[in-house]
Amino acid sequence: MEKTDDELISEYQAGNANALNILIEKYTRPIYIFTYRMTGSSGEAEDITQETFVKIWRSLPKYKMTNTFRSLLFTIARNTALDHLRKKKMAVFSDFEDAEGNNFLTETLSDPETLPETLIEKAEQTKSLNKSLLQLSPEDREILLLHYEEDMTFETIGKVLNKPLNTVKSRHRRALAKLREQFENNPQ
Amino acid sequence: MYKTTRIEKGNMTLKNLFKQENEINIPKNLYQQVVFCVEQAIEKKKRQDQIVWGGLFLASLGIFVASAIHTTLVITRSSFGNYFSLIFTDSATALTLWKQIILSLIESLPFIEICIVLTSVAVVLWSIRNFSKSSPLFITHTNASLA
Repeated sequence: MEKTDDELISEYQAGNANALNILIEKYTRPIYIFTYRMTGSSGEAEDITQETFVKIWRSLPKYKMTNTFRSLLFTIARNTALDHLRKKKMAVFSDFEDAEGNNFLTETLSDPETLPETLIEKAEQTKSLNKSLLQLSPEDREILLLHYEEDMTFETIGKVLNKPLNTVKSRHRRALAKLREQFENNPQ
Repeated sequence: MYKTTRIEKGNMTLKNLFKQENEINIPKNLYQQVVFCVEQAIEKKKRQDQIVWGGLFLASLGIFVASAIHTTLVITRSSFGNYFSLIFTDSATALTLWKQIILSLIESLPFIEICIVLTSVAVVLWSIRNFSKSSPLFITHTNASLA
């Protein structure tokens, strides 16, 4: 029977080094895919993946067994990816946010309600979801990746991003709207 | 309800599309690279710990030796030694004046120096314990199970 993340961490803390290797093996692929989608670069995704696991190892002694390892891992991956993007001097969307998560740049967005299936039609036409994702800001990208690729609920995404649930939902709607814009701007 | 069902169906289809686009080529040795990085970080921390605890051990050992010598000199030069030896040389007098002798012993005891000696002993033991955890030279329960 497969062990849970908390069980593996307990074993590692008790001195079983192999338990950490099992955790690394389990999450290397999803973390790499997430960071690749965030940065668009294979080299950067490799670096960020490695950094993420080093950071998670450092945080293991303080980790409390609350079944939140996956959220913590993606939080670290996300923050590390954003740091890399900042260093490349890509404007971070959240720089324009106030304390409540409202972003004045998105106030003029029209039609925030976009049914996902209309996007599917567009995506199939463009056949390049990845290209369109990369044209979004990192904050929009991460919401879509965490929800549609990693199957995280909005509550879990809120923990990863340290944002209230309503903010996550409204960002999700805006991200979908922007994705639709990208599809419309990039007809096949 | 119809709109909710459409949205749910759309969400599932979008999820499938994201996962289909998952034809991203994972570098072949990525897992080994990650494990190697983590192992390097572990080794680096071990070396840092060895330097810190090793340094603290040597410093506290030096302080212990110096303070022990100083405390011994203070005790021998003070009247503590005289009062203490009285217990063995003239036990009858010592028994009669036991209260005064005890008070005199307490008064003449170099407390600060003794505290420094005891503290340095505790730091020596604490630092050597932490040093042994990070050093492969020492076989401890933790090191043996990680090997």
